[in-house]
Amino acid sequence: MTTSHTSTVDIVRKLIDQQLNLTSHGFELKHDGNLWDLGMTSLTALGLMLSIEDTFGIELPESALKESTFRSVDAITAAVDAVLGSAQAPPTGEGVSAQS
Amino acid sequence: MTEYAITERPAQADVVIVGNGALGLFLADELMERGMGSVVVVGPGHRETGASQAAGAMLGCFGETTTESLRTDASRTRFELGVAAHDRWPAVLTKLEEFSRTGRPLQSAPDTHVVLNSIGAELDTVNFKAMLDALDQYGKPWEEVDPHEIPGFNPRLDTRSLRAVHLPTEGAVDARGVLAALEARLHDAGAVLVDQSVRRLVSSDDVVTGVELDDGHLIEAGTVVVAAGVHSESLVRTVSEDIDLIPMFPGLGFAMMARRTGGDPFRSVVRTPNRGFACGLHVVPQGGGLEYYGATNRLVDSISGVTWMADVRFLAQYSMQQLDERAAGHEVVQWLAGNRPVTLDGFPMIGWLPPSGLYLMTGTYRDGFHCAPLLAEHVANELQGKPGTIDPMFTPTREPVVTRTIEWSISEYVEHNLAAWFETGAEAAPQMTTTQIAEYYRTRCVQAYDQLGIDYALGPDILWYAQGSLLGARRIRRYLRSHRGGSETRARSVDTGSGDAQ
Repeated sequence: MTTSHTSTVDIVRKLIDQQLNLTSHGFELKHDGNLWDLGMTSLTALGLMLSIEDTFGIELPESALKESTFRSVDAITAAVDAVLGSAQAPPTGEGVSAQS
Repeated sequence: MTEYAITERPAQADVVIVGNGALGLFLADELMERGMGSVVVVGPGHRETGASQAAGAMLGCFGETTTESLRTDASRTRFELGVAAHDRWPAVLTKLEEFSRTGRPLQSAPDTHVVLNSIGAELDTVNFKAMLDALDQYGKPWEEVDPHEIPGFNPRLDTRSLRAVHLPTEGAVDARGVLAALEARLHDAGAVLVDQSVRRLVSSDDVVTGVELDDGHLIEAGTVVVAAGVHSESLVRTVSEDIDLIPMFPGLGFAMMARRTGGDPFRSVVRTPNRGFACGLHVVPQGGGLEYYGATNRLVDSISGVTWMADVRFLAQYSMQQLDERAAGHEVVQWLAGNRPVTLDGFPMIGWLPPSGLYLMTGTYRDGFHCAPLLAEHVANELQGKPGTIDPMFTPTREPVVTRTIEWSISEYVEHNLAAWFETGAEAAPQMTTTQIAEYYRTRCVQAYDQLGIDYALGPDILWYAQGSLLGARRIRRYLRSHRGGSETRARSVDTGSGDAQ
């Protein structure tokens, strides 16, 4: 799981950076830094959630759909790994299957 | 409400109606009147969380008019359901009155006053104008009145009325009294009311054959009609996850029943125009010294029988401020919370579903009570295999109805937020103009569409909900992605899918 964990973190970092534009402004994205202090809003959290689910091809459980899940790189990675770890199928990298 | 419910449950019926709100009971009454065989209505007698038991039951379609009501053909068709339903009520009341046990007329108010006050912002003004235009278009009576002449109306000076009109033919009924009278009439006619909930629908080979109650008891049915309000979607899903229903959300609303302790009572419905995200502030005389004050509207993730402290404050404060300052001393005798069935596109869901033998009747949002007698006629026709009496556009498996562009949706959202901003008394720094507040909401709304990645334009209430609920946003996005409203060419795709990383 170490390899998987590493790659999850890398992707999570890219997705966060895409939302918050941190590195282009010279900010360092620490693994436990509070994203809400770095400009995360309810709307960027929304976009981040959707892009994480699309990218990893997962569905976060309802219990993870809360502010604290999107607190830090670590918290998000843990939430993603929890789903990936319990899933049989490997992540596809495609958007989640369309379903209402 | 359980006076007529029986303890011996039937094992079979020609029609089982799931849901004992206004839609379910009016349909049962129509079926009994037409002699369409045995009818069983299943629903808990307490009706907790249901919309009908909490309804103000204003019989007002014109009082509810907004700028959206007649702007598109689809909205007009929907609006005209209300207009047609209005004509049914005199006969309905005549036949129900003898079954009423309340000791007072079921029609609790014969008429309505709509007031335009200064606190409701521009949205009030444009909706007020839209209402007058609609009244003229449909040739309905109204007259301008002096707000001081409205019995009971006694707002604080800071929210005094700018204009007021009298709608002599739009009144209200005692919702709880009507439901009880319908139950009595149904009992008299031989329909069976079962005071329980349905756990699941029973099917065999894609044919719905009955319902299973909470305790496992089965009732076989020739036809099952689901009219269980916001519970309907999950019930239908017990047959199949694959039925492509329009998503539905609970529109949690709060109202108070209060006993007047002094001052002149209201003798008519007194209301504002429809307002930011909601149905406007209104008081509905109930008879017996009681007045109904309503209502809030908040789309939520799950059905609930409680409400937010903010909504309690909202309703109490604005009732005292905008309707009658003496309401401060009124005795609240009942807190009413109900969940309106709100669909993604705002239109009802009425029609047969793919599994044979299953009919859906819900999604009526604010005026299910008002429209129930009309919809009952339509559904009874459909169950009899006759042509329906309303437009077929409300089929539950339709594509979401398009009534606005994204740009229009954003403007609407801004306007609703501004209305809420001023009504709640929010203060901006003195140098901040209304235009700047509007810019904030506009920017936020544009960002919301960008993040959601959809190109179906949402109504302001749904948009507000989607922005505040990750669960809601995800559900709306997924549904629209699987239909035509999903924007597949999302600019922000990332080039490091997990496939690459591995």
